Amino acid sequence: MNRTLTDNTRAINVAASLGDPQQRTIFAKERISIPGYYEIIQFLGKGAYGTVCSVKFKGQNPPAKIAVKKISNIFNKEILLKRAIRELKFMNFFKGHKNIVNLIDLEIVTSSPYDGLYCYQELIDYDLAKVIHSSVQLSEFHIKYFLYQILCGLKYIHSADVIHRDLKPGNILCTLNGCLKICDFGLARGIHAGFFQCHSTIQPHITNYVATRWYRAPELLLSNQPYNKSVDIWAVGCILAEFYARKPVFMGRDSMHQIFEIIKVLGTPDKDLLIKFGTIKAWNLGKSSNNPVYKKIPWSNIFPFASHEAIDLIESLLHWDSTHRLNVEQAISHPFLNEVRKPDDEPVCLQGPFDFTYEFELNSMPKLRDYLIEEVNSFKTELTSSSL
Amino acid sequence: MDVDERLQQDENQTHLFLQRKPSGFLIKEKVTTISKDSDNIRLRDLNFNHRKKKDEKTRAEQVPIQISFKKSKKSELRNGSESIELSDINLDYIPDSPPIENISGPGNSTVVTPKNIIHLQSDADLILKECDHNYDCGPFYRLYNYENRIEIDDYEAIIKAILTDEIAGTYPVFERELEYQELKTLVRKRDYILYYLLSKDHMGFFRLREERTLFYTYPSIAYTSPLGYLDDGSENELFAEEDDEVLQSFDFENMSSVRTLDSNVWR
Repeated sequence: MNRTLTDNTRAINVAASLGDPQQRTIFAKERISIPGYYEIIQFLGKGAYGTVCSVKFKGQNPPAKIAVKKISNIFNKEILLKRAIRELKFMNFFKGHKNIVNLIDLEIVTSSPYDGLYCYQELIDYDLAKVIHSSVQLSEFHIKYFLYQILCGLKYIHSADVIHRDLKPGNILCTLNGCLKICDFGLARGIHAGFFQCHSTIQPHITNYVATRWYRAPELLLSNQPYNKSVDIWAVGCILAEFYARKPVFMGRDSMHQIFEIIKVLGTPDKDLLIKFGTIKAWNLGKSSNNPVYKKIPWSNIFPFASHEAIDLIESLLHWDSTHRLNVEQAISHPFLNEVRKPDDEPVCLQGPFDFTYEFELNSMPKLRDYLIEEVNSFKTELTSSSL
Repeated sequence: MDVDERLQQDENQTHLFLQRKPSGFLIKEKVTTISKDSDNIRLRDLNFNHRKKKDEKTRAEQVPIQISFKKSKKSELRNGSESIELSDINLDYIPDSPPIENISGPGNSTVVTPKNIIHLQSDADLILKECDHNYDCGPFYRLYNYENRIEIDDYEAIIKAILTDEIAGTYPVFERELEYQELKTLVRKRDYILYYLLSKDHMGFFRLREERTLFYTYPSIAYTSPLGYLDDGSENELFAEEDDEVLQSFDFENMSSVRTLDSNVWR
């Protein structure tokens, strides 16, 4: 079944051109109400805090299939409201990039029992984890093409001074025609220094929450100091290696085991770097009385079938020291990707850095709720104006 | 000496160190290691709650028979002896969201009325028999809790964070502080009476107050608590406990469902 939304712009335009929906289509069993110009195709499941179904525009040929998620029961929960606002803001901010998942429409329905926040977006069946860990043969060209798309999406995100912080194959969606889209901005964070300076009350550091361990950078495991965009680059390196290994390369059971998994491949880090991490945990790694010194295993020994360029890129991305890792633009320019590069596919975010200071003004639950509603309304206004 | 032996030796050294800690510190570990081979003792209790989506097999195994038995026993006791026995405190109560029309102005949203329903789709047409019911999309894409970078037993990092904050005059904010402040204004004398006499916590205020107290009383909790997107109920629905050994032999075709979860230390 082809569930790929090949032309997202077309879907957005159709939604916008139909204007404010007056008539509704009802799916009574799952208590879903959507504008009358949609037709429900299938109930897809119950996701976290919501029900998901697939819909299409009536009479559209070929149909652009859309996933609709009805989210309910979040309006009394502070952390869920904050996350909903943050995710919608990021998805709206990055809207239009072909390697980032796109919101097509947003709607708040107030009539019980259909009440909830409705999010309309591209319907994509697969994630990269399913692709990597399937029996599908992946040539080096596939790997180049996939990695290039991830880096293009990441370049756009980083150009807005945003760190994703939870990049992993499971959070990269894959259409049937091989187009990758980064999703899940639940832990993403704006880091533009200017916004810290504007608000003296804001602490110039980012939160201590960290994501999936197997893709976690060494500085997150060994240090308590501020980190930067290079944590995403480490995750991209892990994904690139996973393309060849067809399984995660560093599978730690806990954070210490994760460190040892990295050490077994990358070797024991230099003492200077361990000192730089600034923790006893890091320092103990360098004490030869406790731990043997591991030598680095060349990636070419681990993946003898990979090209020299691929090995070189893995080496450059998976480096103990975050300052020695390539940044996203350098990674895109690496010779490994020359074959698949298209300069038009590598835009930067023209809206400038993402302004996250709104978070600090939302200091009560009513303000959080009002802000979510405002966000939905401004999205719809923007959608309508762009279609005119 | 190979890597695994080396790792085991390192962990055993950690074990010797931890054994010198005050009693109570290792309670959880003792329980864990009783059923395991002594050669596989692993002491660090960090990030242990690897979980994955339930497959049909584990779902079947985890039917809470004992819980339902307890419930039935309680009801029998009540009916039989007719004694007035206080029920357990409902710690898992999650209040519903307020109706959206209460928080949204009339011009801000869509209203469904019988007049504007043009098409009622048949439910039978929409639910495929083979549907896996697992599809999800954002926001809240495959929700899970985010671990804290500072681990529960990383005393050095905790003390350093406390000192840094002390100098800066700051302290971590309870992640549900706004929710608490709102509930505080809504709770009435009647709710206190119901809670203290009948253990009824309709709004979840008392549970939240308890969590908040723990958060502000114990810096170790404040500085190490995960970002808990999953409440207990939804966590139980979506994920099941998973041993490390199970994780190691995990079927990678379903890898996308593996999530790193952390326990909520105050629960």
